[in-house]
Amino acid sequence: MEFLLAQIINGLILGGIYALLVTGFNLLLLEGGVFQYAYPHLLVLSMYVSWLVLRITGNNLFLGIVAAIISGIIFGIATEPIFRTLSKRGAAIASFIVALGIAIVITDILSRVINRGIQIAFPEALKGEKALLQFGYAIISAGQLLTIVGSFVAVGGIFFFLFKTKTGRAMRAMAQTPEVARLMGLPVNAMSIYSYALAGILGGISSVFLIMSLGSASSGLGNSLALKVLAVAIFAGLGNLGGGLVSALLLGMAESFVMGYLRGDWANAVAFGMIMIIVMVKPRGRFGMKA
Amino acid sequence: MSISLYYFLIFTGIFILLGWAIYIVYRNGQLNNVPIAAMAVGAYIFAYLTRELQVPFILALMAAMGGGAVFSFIPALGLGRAPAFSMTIATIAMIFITQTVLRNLDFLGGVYGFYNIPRVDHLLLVTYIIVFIVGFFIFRLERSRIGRAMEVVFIDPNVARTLKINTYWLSVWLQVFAGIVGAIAGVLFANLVRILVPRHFSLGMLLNIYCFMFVGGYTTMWGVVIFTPILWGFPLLLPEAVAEWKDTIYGMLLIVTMLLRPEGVITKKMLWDLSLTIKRFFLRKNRLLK
Repeated sequence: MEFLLAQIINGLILGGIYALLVTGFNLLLLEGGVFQYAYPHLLVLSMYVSWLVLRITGNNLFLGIVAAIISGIIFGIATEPIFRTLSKRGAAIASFIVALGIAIVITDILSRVINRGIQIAFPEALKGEKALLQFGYAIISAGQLLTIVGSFVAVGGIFFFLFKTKTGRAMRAMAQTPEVARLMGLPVNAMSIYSYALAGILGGISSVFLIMSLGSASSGLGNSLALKVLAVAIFAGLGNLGGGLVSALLLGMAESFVMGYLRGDWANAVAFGMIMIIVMVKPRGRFGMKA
Repeated sequence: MSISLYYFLIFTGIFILLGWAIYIVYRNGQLNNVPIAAMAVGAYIFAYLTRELQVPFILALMAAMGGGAVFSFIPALGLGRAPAFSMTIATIAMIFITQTVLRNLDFLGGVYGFYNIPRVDHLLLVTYIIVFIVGFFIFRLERSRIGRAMEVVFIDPNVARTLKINTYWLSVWLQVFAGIVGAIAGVLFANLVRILVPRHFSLGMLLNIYCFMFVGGYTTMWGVVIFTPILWGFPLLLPEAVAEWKDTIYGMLLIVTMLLRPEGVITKKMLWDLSLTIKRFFLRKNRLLK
């Protein structure tokens, strides 16, 4: 029972982080038809920036967290001009290839330059490992609780912004019919930049939660996360924001249970097996695609 | 022949085969990455048959091709209808699933790998005979009715359906063909390296192939042929300190090419113009001689 509870807690943490990531990913997909494979790589880059700031400032946690979020926004906005060209051209596959190129460059640079390519470790204080609640062997630490609550609050905030504010509605209008939105006088370029900034904020927040839950990062983390995010997005149906949340939780739970109960490294195979089955049985995702 | 040149030439042949395997499905408007996973399947089938059961090269090659065909046919039945993005990611997922399964199969060496694979004689010659046969098949295929159907599907799948082209089965058979070519590449790879480790068949290899295909040009089969030796070879000529950054160079090349020359360096139109220029040159020469 305690083991089961521990797996549920881990599943919620993973699911929360995946939910943040897949929301950011879907936002970019909806806004410009961009298949941002490198989105999780930018997040990992933010983790590295945070690590550098922590080292420079003598482990100032506040500055480390701020650096992760701000760098997430900057990296997000920096990629906008590259993808805007492709978005205007309607080159969806090309956007995936370009994102792949960005991902290769980031991974290669991280694996050679920062910390000589060795895995980076964050200060213990950032992980918040102090137990808040304990059920036998199952422990909920402060970091874990913050990750779970923070992920859902952040995603809730983004949904509130998209569905209840004027700018959010304008962004959704842009995603649904860009031509009509343009005719209605919506500032197309500004909306595009907002989307990238918003995705960047989500990326920055995710990087903080990843730092808290993993406590370390390596250059290969981007690829691993990218495939999970894509798995969730495809499982839900590309661009489906609501479906993405449910799928993120499902995948997080499934991965956590497989890691807990199966021998070897079958967790990834299960996640990817789920994509294969969904794509083969329901090519447009479990919850259908949205434009 | 120096050993490095020998390896370079065979690797080039293997990468050309893999590039063609991805290219042929892409000409149908879908980005299918199964060839890398099929390569692993083909390589391991070949390795197991030749080392454990002493099966001759040609039989083991055919078994590997059969394995590649079955391996790509089953998902192709589902992926034939999948949107382009979903297929791209689902087939990347297949690479990871294959890797995970291979890592956990102890009789194939698991994470430690499968060693001492017998090597066929005259591997270089065998490689280029196979490259020539596969290339000739693709060349003829592109000029057949199927090739024209692929062209229509690539430009507009809806028009293709209106013209009564069965886009689903076209996609399925092209994926199977790609899987077979991937398995052949795997057999040649197993012969060359003689040690198979699951991590050989990774996203890294796929990224190399993408670079060769998209930088070379995806509108013609010659883009891969011309740019694979160039892109695979130039890091070997660079100083070691620069060559280490091969992946970054490939990534930058991919980004720049997709932004500035989306169809790649070698395009169909370029080849068409070149063939016209050559024809005109010879016509003029003949007229002068008369």
